Amino acid sequence: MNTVNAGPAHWATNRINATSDPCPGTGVSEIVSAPKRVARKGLRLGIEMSEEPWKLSPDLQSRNAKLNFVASRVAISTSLRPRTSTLPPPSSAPRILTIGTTTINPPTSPRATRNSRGSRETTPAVLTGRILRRRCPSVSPDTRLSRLLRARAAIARLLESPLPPRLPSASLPWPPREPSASPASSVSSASLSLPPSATNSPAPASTVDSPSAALPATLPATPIAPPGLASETRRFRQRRGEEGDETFARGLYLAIRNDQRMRNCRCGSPAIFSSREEAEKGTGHLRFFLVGEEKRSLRVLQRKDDFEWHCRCRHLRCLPEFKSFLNKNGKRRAEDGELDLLARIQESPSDKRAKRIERIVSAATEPPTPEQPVEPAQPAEQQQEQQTEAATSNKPMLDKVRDLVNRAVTAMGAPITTVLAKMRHTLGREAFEAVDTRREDPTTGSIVVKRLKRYTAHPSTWKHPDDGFENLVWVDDPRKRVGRETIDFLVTNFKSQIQSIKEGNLIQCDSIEDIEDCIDDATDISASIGLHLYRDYRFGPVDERDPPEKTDSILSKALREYDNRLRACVKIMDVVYHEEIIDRLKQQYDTPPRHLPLGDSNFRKDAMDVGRFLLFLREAARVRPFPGATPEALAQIAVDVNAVHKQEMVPSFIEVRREMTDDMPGHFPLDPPVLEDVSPDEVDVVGIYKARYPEPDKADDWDKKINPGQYKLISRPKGILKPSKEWAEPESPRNVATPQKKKSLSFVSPVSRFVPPARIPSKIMTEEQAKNIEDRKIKAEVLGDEHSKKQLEEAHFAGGLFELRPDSKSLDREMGLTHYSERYGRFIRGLKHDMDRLKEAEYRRRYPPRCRPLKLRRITNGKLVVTFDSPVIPRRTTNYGTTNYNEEITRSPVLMNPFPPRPSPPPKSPRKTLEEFFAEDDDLDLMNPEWRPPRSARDLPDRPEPPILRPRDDDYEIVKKLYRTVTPREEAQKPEDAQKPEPHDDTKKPAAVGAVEKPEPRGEVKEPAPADDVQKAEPSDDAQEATQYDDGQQHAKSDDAQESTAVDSKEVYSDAKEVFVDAKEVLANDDDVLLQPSIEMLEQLHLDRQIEQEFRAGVLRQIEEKKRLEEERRREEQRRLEEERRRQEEERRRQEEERLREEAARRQREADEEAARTGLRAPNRPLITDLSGEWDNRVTNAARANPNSELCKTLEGQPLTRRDFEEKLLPPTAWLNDNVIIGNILYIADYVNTTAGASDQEPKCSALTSYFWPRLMSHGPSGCGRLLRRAGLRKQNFLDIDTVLIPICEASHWTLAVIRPSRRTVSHLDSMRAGRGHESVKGKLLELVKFILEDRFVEDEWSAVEYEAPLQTNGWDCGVFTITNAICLALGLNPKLAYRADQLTLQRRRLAAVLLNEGFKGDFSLDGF
Amino acid sequence: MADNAENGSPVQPGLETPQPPTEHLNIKVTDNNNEVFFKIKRTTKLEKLMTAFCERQGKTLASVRFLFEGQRVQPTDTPDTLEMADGDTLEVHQEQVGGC
Repeated sequence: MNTVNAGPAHWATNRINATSDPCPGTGVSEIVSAPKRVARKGLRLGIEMSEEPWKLSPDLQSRNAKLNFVASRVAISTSLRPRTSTLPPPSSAPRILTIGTTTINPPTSPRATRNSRGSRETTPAVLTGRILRRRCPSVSPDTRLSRLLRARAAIARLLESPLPPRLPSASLPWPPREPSASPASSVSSASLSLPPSATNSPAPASTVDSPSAALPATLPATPIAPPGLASETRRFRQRRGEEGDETFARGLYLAIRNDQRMRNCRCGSPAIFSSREEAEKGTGHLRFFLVGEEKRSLRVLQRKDDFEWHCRCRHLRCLPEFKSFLNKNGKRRAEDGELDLLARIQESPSDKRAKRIERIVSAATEPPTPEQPVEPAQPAEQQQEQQTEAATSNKPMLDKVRDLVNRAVTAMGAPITTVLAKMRHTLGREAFEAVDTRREDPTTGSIVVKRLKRYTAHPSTWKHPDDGFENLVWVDDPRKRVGRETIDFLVTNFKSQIQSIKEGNLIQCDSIEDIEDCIDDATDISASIGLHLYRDYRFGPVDERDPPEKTDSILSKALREYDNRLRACVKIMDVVYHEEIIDRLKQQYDTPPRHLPLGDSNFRKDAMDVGRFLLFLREAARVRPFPGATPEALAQIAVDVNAVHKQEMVPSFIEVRREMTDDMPGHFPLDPPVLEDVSPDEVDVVGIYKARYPEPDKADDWDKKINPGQYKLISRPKGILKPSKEWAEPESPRNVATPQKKKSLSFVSPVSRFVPPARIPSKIMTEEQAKNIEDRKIKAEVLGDEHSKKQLEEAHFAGGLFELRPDSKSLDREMGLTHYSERYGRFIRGLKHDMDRLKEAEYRRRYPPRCRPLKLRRITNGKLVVTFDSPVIPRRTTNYGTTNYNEEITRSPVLMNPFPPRPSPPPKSPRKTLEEFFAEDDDLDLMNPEWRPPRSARDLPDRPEPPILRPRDDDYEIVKKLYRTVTPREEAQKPEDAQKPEPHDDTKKPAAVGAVEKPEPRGEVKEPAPADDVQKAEPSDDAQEATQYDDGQQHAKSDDAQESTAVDSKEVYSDAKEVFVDAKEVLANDDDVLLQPSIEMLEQLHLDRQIEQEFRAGVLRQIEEKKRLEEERRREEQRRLEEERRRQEEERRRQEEERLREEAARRQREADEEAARTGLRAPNRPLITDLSGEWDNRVTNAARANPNSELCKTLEGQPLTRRDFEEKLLPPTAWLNDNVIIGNILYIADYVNTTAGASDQEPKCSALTSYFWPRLMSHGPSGCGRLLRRAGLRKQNFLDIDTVLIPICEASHWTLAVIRPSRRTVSHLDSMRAGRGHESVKGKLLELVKFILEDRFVEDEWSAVEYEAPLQTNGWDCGVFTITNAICLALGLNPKLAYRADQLTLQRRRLAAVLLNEGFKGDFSLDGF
Repeated sequence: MADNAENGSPVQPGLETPQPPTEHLNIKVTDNNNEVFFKIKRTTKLEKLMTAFCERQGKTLASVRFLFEGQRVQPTDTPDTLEMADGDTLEVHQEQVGGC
């Protein structure tokens, strides 16, 4: 498996063994320990390789190709993590420190080395350098490392000027870079600078001597594009094609702007070029430009060969207030309001992909106009239409209301805005006002302009010294207002920051996040972040293209300023919030004056600076909250300080008088004479204020007050009667004559006649301001965004130094933050990703791995040559108190740099050991651009984290094997070499092998290493210094020696570092002999792996088989169960049918019995059938008839009107009235009698009205003679009657009482009780029968029976039930069998039809039932 | 019954003899709360009486029922057709409506 890989490890071992003892004193342990380490690295390589070993085997011939592969694998997979440097204990070496001079290798190449050394030697330095070189192209250069490098270089440069003259120039291999030397040096210049002609470069000595020749060619920041390349990526083109030029550009711009807003990025929005040509010439990956003359609009172009991204700062986190908008993945969180959003599917006919669902945000939350994207497919006119339509339709109420509210809010907010703006104005810059007058020169006729320039008027409040101050008194403690703790905290904080700056406990990174990540206990986080922000605030974000000199100067400038400000803060706060200041002022002034000069003019000028600075801090506190100090407190202090600046009364010094004056509301004097003891019931206690200013008595007024508009007009009485008094017109205010204005003499004020000069500029702006306004104007015009417009307004209003920040919600609404981030966020990330990839490819293209020389290490090392013996004069001129810089510097040289890469405890010895420098050097080397902080995987989201390689046990085994195979041959070859003093790789081989053969856990290797090797490194250090002063003879040799030593010590000390040996180079220098065993091993391993795979596959197959059988068995079982279930089902169905049949038979039997008992039978045909169309129409028309017209008459003579149909019968839930019931019941009786040929007085069926029953109840049977007579019920014929129908309405419920004299039964049908009746009713009926029959009544014959009828289940159908039951009983049908309850809605219409038909005749004949 | 009503009226016995010649009847119309007397001709349709009563009581004709001895009085009826006598009573009932 690892056959091939073991090679590099092995050679590495060899090499180190060979080179590691240039100085005899370095000792054995180093020789032993180094191979271990390298072997481990080799293992790493091996693992790396093991993924695709077979790819190598086919072309054994072309070793180069294969090795290339190895090399590239190494290069790609190299991953370096930040390491925690373990500084070696300080040594007591001379104080000359030389970084990088030791390891200068001629930039020649492996070839040269081989020539000088023998066959297979490659110096470790070369290897390391190559590794670095190989790493570099695979990463984007704008990483932290480069910055760190530059910061480091900056220190060097800061320190470099006072270099001691005694340093020989030869020891300066790479002089500090001059700005002129790398005019186009880019971000990557520090880490990637490469000598131009490495292969041809001369001998090492000469390289050292002529630094200019060795100056690296750097990669220009903005590579010149090959002209043939298309300038846009596909992603870009496609999206633009989808959205249309303008929408796309605008959306993209807004998205970028919003994104920056949310991250608090201060890089500024991308520039907008004024024309395409200009944009072409400009820089930037994305370039926005304007088109159109009259109506300008925005376009964007992409240059994919320009790798300058629009955001250079590294603020990657959203500000806390915007975090709630976005999810982790950048999507918008679902909000409650979205639940009722509408969705609309937009489909464009041309493009299928354009179909998508778009949210229509409700108008209130709608982001500004460009929000609503115009569909690309729509033609332009249509868009226009839509827009106008929207404008008109959306205009109504809501907009007006919003307008109003906005205006109100603006009006209310105006004072605050004014105050802040004024403050900004005053604090910000001197404002001038120019007034110019023009007049025509009478003599020459030309126009003479006189311009007066003057300060704009400050509010001249102090002109009246004590105006409005009578209620103000001195406070006891000036710190009360702001808060004692807050001030103390701030002062302490500032002081600690000053201290940190003095000591250099700062850290500098690209972004706040990085700072937070890298911070540890020794560094001051607030100072670091404060400085970072301050630099951004004062000088803008770091531009990567700036030469490091500039960056550094900016940095030091910012640091100086920051420090000054902090000191001024402390000073002023000490004065202003001094406890005794009030006492002193009290002595001076009786009452607080308006004009209060404090301190001298310098002090006041400082106060202005401090005010600005505090406002900056207040802003900064938003980005990173200041623990303990609120923005309010900062603002309050700023106000105080501003007052000091303006010589006004400091707000903190005064307060409102505590005693109340008697014209304040709620005042109640406490002087004794006013109070006396009065019992509360004797007197009303009223506050003096109330007593003095009583509220107007409402009650009185209210009655008296007459609303002038509310008089009543009384018409003049008509007729002949004269009014007793003259009626006058009521007095109306309108009729009152307009009072004549008094005319008086007046003089015309000259002021009113004043005509202002033609044009007075309202404000004189600085160029910057004017540009700012112009810029915003363009944005407002082109973007058409609400936010941009507001920005423009603000810019007009004031300079805009500090913005008023609306809350995040309104920002979201105004700027469409979520909308655009949702819409373009992914796209922009994609663009960035593309760009990064292109950048990487470009790097690869320009610097193909093979021809890149390996000078990096030397460059980084060579820059820093520092001695601390000579007095160092710091370049900074800040008055940092009495600090002795020299002393500090000699104590810890690193501290000259305000930003050491990480805090290091000051070494005890003034001398910096070589180990330390190498340790640092390792930092430099290893923190290659791919380095990333542990938590900041977000930096490069596109690139997957390289897998962490961990050696496995069998790897050790393989290495062991390999070494065994190699060793005998090597030994056979070079037994004599071992004796040579010149270091040779084979000499220490047995030791190395031995070391490798006892593989130890990594930790064990690591732990003892630093302690041991410190001592070993020191001698080499000496040697190295010796070489510095040496002449050129020994140079080449000692150079190598130093280099190897350096590498060794470096590797020893950098425990977390993983050096990946460049396998290719190593292999290239070697023989085929060595390669052979590895190849065999590889094949063997390959075979092994195949076997193992097959075995595994076999096991898998078995498992599969087992699974399959299991599955089959289960399926079988399932089938069986299924069948069982089906059988049972069938059985059950059969039983069910059986049961149903029996049921039916039983019912039939019962029905027959019932019929026999009650004399009722089942109907021959359904009782309730559909109405014919004609009748349906007539019924419907009846409900629409004239309300007063008589539609029909019942037999009783009662006319029926529309009301009876429309309200009382036809609606399905209507309650029936007596007209309908009586009408139908009478018709039933009439039908039966008519059919039977009976007369009215000798009826077969008789019907009584519903008013019979109340009469019977109230008057008894004897009171009903008239009704009974009319119904034809007499003693003589009563027993011949078949049916007597009596509808009863009791308690809003219709029931039916039935007497069947021929069967001698009485019954009562209540539909609510399914036909059963009430016994009381039956009793009454029997009484009635007895009354009618008198002596013919035989009690035993008569019985009360129950009939069954459908059950009423609703609250409105009982009337219909009653009538239908009556029909059934009159016809001798069983109601239960004749109809169902759910037919009754239809029955309503039928009954209506019967009423209209005036009887059961014709279509409604009851024949045949 | 009619007899009762006739006997109940104290005026009745004294006026019995002049009854045939008098064309006018005194008719009492009562719902349970109020009593209203109408004097109408025998041949006058009772509709007039009903309408007057309803108007006076603020009711609509459609929602009330006039009953003479339990028999519904139709607008077209006259005292003659109902065989009413002087002093007879018309009862006024609410329209019967039922559903549940």
